[in-house]
Amino acid sequence: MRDKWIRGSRNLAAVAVAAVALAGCGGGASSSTASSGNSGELDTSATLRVATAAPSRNLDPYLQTSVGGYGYLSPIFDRLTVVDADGNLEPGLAESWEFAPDGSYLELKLRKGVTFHDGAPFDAAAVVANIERGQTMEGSTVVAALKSITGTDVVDEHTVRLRLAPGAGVELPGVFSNNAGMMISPRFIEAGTDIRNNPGKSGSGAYEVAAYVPEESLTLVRAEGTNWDPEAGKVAGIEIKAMPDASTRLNGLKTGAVDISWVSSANEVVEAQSLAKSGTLAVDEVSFRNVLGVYMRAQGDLAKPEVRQAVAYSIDPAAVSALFSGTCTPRQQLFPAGSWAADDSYQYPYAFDLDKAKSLVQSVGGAPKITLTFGAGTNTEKPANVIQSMLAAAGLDADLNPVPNSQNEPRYVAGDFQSMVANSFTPRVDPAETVSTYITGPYDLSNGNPQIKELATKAANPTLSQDERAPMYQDIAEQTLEEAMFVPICNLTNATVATDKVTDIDGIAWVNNGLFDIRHVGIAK
Amino acid sequence: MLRYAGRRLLAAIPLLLVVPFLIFVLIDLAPGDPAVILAGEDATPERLEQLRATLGLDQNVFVRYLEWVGSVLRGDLGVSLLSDQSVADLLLRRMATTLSLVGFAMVLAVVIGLVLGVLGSLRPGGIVDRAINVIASIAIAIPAFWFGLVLVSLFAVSNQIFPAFGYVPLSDGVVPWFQHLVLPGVALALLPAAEVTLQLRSALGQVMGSDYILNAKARGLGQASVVLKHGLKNACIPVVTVLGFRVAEVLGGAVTIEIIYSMPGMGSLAVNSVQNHDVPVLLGFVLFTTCVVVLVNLLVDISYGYFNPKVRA
Repeated sequence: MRDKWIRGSRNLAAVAVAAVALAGCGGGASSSTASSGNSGELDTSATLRVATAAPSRNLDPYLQTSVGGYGYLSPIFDRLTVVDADGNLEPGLAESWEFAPDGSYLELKLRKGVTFHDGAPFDAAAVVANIERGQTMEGSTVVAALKSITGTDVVDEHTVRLRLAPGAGVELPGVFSNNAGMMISPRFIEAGTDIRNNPGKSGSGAYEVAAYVPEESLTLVRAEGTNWDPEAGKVAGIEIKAMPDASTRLNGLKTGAVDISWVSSANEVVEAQSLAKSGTLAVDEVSFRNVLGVYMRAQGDLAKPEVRQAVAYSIDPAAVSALFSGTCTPRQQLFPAGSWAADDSYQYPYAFDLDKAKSLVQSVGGAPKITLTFGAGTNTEKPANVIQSMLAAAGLDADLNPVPNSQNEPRYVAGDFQSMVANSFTPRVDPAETVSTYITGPYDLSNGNPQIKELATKAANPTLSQDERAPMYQDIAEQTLEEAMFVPICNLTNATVATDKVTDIDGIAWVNNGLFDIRHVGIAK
Repeated sequence: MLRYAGRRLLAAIPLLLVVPFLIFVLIDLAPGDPAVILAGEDATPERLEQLRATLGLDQNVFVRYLEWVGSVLRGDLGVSLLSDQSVADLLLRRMATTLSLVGFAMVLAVVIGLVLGVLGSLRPGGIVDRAINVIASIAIAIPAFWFGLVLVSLFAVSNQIFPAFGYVPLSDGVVPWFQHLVLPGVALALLPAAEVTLQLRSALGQVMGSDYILNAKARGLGQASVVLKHGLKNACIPVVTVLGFRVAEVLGGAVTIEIIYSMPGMGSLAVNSVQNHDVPVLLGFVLFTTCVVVLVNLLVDISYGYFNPKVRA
């Protein structure tokens, strides 16, 4: 079963300027890609050298504390479902899935003929073992993701049913496209093997680990045998190095020491564009699904709705985009363009209006204080500075609070910050997960509104069709944005930059989430 | 000499206790809950409580520090809260990178400083002396990280003479090891080379006016012999002192250079551990650098005996 739930934004490259002019109605991707990778005969003995910003802390799928580690894992551990480059949910180790008519279970039909690297078969029992591990292992970080599963039943060797809590579980097929859906060999589970630093032969992916240094590098070699995915395993090996500094990554590409990397800060994206124009490197740009925006808590002066609305009115997405050379496509909605949950006719209630912002500020008296926290050295640093200026123009007293990027999100969720400029609002595969994470969950963008919570519960019913759920999510989005706890601004650009020998760089999944799934990337002769 | 070294080492013990304690307190005072940072965004409240108990965050900072001291005395530096690796293993693995970089930079600084310092002192006030003074003064003002970026641009990207990033262990070949050290080493050596140059030039200038030097010249000894054999040794004492101080600075400067050149050294490890509240790793790093500074200062003091026999007596 295939759910088509988003369209890629890369196809809107030529209308970027027009899209900026249509700010507030969503926009298209900015793209000046001169070439998007090689498509010649493959060199199956080559090693792909990858440079990425995020380090990997360990290689256990169920002990990941940040999404940055996912790209290291996807070549090693197959997932029950996957997403393609456009964000469409596709079969992985589960060939199909279906909810019970009464929503009491999710039935997965599993792919036949798959074995883990240690020879153990991938079957229903393996899925059950993995789910139990994810729910019960000490330190597991997927407990919340799997909480709607109350039990498992093996129907036959390749069919498993996941019993669901009432009215829950609709997000599971999408959840399984991330680390929660990564399967490890049941033999390793039974033995209780610690796979954090050495997964051994516990995966079923196209690659195995040859060497791993946490926080530094991962070296993979093609696994023996034929992978079930004919598009995977095109290179003999993959070397992934963590390089936090984008300039260093670009230098590595320019000197040929690195084959592929990603940049998303405006300066680096512009530099990548010029490298593409000169034919030096191949570049593929996509708009993030992530929405750059300002999160707010009802703390201090932001407890007043008028102040939050003033913040929203004072931010001009078109101006932000122009300041960043068009690398931030205005988008003032919660759900991505083309998503079945999005409403193309939606008008953001607080579209830029400086006069209204000033009037609201005057109505509360004084100069309301707001502290803008952001991850230092990340692609939100410049936007935070620009937003500060915009708020000041409206009469708001805004301070900047840079913090290490690893602290930004966890501490905001813990309630340490009054507001945060972040690129982290990531619409999930299923809007139910988006809502439970950001709107009614720890980010509390609903501001505790009981109507939103009630609507979220109704919309997450797995027995409803997309057509039935869509209006509810549109209503949720509308009410949430009216609360002005989150000001969506734009979608930043993530550029895949590669040497001209790398193939299929425009087919890399997860790039629109700021991650990478390089299973299908190859190197031409 | 041994007794002297032993006394100095004993005197360093309070330093080895106080410095890590200060860092311990500072990191404890830093905003943010380490458990939240380590557990990530999707952590359940139960997981956070479990992590806080494991980290001992419910205990007094003094109690936690004393527990750490106790385990260090037993030879256990603990494990990284981020990656669960042994701190000792982490430091040992990264040490080679940083020591190679720092050692390379210091050797380069000494060589450049010696050459330029001697050249400048040969004709005080002359064109060469003035030029060296100006160059050294500019070098002191240039930030190492900026210079490092310029070097990458000129010698790695525009002209692919040296690698743009990374580190190759010596065990993988002397040539690649050396090639990867040149650019970061030169960037890191800039400041100490300039300081050694100025210090040596000044000290040598004073020494060259001494009576015994005049005596040497009067006896017909050549300029090279007078400077290198008779003058340099006495001029080195203040230079060695400066070098001792600079080792600590260069260790600190290695942090930014390692990040620019993506070298897996102790500097980048320290930055990561601060950002992520990885206290065991940070304390291990601080302990290491404190030991290095103490050792270097001890060696500096001992070297006085070589340069000045009166000290030995």
